[in-house]
Amino acid sequence: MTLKKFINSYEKFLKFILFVMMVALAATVLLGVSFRFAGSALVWYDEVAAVQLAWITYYGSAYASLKGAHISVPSIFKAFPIALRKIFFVLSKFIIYAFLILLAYYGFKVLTLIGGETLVTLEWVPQIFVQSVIPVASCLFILSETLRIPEDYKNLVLQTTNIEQTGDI
Amino acid sequence: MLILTMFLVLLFILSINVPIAIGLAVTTIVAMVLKSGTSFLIDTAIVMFDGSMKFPLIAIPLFILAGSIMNSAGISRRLIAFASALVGFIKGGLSMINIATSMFFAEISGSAVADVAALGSILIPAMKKKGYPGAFAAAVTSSSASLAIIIPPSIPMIVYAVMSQSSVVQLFVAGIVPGVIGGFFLMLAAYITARRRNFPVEETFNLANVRKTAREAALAFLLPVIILGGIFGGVVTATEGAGLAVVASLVIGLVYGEVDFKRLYEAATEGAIQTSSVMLLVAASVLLGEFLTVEQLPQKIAGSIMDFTNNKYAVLAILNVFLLVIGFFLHSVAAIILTVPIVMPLVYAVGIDPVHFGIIVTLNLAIGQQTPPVASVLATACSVAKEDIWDVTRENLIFISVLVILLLLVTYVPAIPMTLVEYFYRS
Repeated sequence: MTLKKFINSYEKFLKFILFVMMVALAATVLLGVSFRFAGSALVWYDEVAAVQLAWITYYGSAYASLKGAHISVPSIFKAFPIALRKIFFVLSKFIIYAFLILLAYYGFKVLTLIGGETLVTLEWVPQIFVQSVIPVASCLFILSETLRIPEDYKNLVLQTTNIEQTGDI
Repeated sequence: MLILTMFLVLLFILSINVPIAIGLAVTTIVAMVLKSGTSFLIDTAIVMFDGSMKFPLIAIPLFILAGSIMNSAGISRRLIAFASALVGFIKGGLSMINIATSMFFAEISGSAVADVAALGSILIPAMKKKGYPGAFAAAVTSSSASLAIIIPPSIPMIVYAVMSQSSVVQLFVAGIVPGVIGGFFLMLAAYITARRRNFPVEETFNLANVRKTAREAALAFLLPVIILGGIFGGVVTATEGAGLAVVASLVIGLVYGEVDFKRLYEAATEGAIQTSSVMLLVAASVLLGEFLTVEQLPQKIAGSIMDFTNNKYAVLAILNVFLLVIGFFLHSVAAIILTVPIVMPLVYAVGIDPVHFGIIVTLNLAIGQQTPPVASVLATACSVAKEDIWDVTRENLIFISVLVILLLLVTYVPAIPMTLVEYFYRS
């Protein structure tokens, strides 16, 4: 399988799980509202919805990284001469990897410490599953950053960091 | 000394294009290691997880999803047709239609970038076809879309409410009057430009056509009633209102028979990207917040500014200049997340109402969305119009001036944003 094909399949996979998560979050909120109107509020609604947001945050971050869409300030970087941009490019990747490796490592360490814990409102959902998002998504984030290197390098040389990619709301 | 070093390190990391969220987290981690060793490192993972579990911010992906559904459900087209029947007879008709539609759309969507993408793709080509300069079309679309974050519902206001621990509902109510005045001012500026440059009228006024287009868009008008009525009436929270917006726009799209599921799939995943990039920043800011709390930095800044002046209006002027400058370089949500926790102690100390300040912050950042180099909404409008960002900025100066006048009014006449809040929630 070529790299391009792998990136395509990986992107499709991330897109699919994020679509499911977005729909699931909307469904949870609507269930919560409906049951509250019906007079029997769901006790687990707040906690589960907040966990779903955390999952969208981290799995979405892995996808955002693949698309080069994390909020950054490319305008200053673009003003540097090309030689300096190349050095800073390596340095920026080093900083990003260092952070993600640290997050993955300590995220995993946390999992080893919360063995028997569960969600407060749903006692059959183990915290290990809930918080696995940090180490797992950090690894996916690292993969995305790596797969993005050729594209980022191309932008760096051509000086065409797409301003729209740095997403605002 | 540590704080100054930290600030310089952060500035350097951001200037080499590291995502702001990661830059913040790395700077905080380095500062904490220098101060207290490596024992807290395991907390990093815990704080980054907890920091992303902010219940009120669930409204962000839901409002984005609702906006995407509306885009693929023929709602924008119907709103434009109605606005055209209503204000298309005025000189420079298409600019009026553009501003009026943005104001309608803003009551349903919480995002200026979503508005400019949705309406710009229809209105900018239409304006160019009628002979308006492309740069002017992009400028009017861009400025009027930024009204979306002043008129409720508004994602930046939700983020502000979480960062400042103030009421989302009161912020939404406070945004209504400035939003309407802003829309009126923009229309006035567009009208003056149209007269000066002889832009055409769009159609003659015809009451039967107003009725017909209103009937066709009637379901779309129901959306703000459901969303804002539910939130203001205290029936649902802002988060739940966002959930209702998703269902209501889906139902309306299905009734219109225009929901494009393929586009919806793409839009939902785009929404996940936007949500995650904002939420990662929120999580990193929680990490920074823990450090700042220990260091008491916000209190120290408040103290040193109050040594200089404790006049509320002078402090507001300082904060406005600070926020306007920040707006040149940061996206709106990033600016809120980075600055609000730091300036809040000062805001409270000089007696500024946090809801009033929220509108000031939002308005400053709406202007920031129009001022390059970092101007998300303007950049989106330019990309839709295929126009140069500086050409559009020249055309946009009149609209930016209008937004600055509105900012001054809102800052120094607190009654403009606060009267409705006082009347409904505090009397």
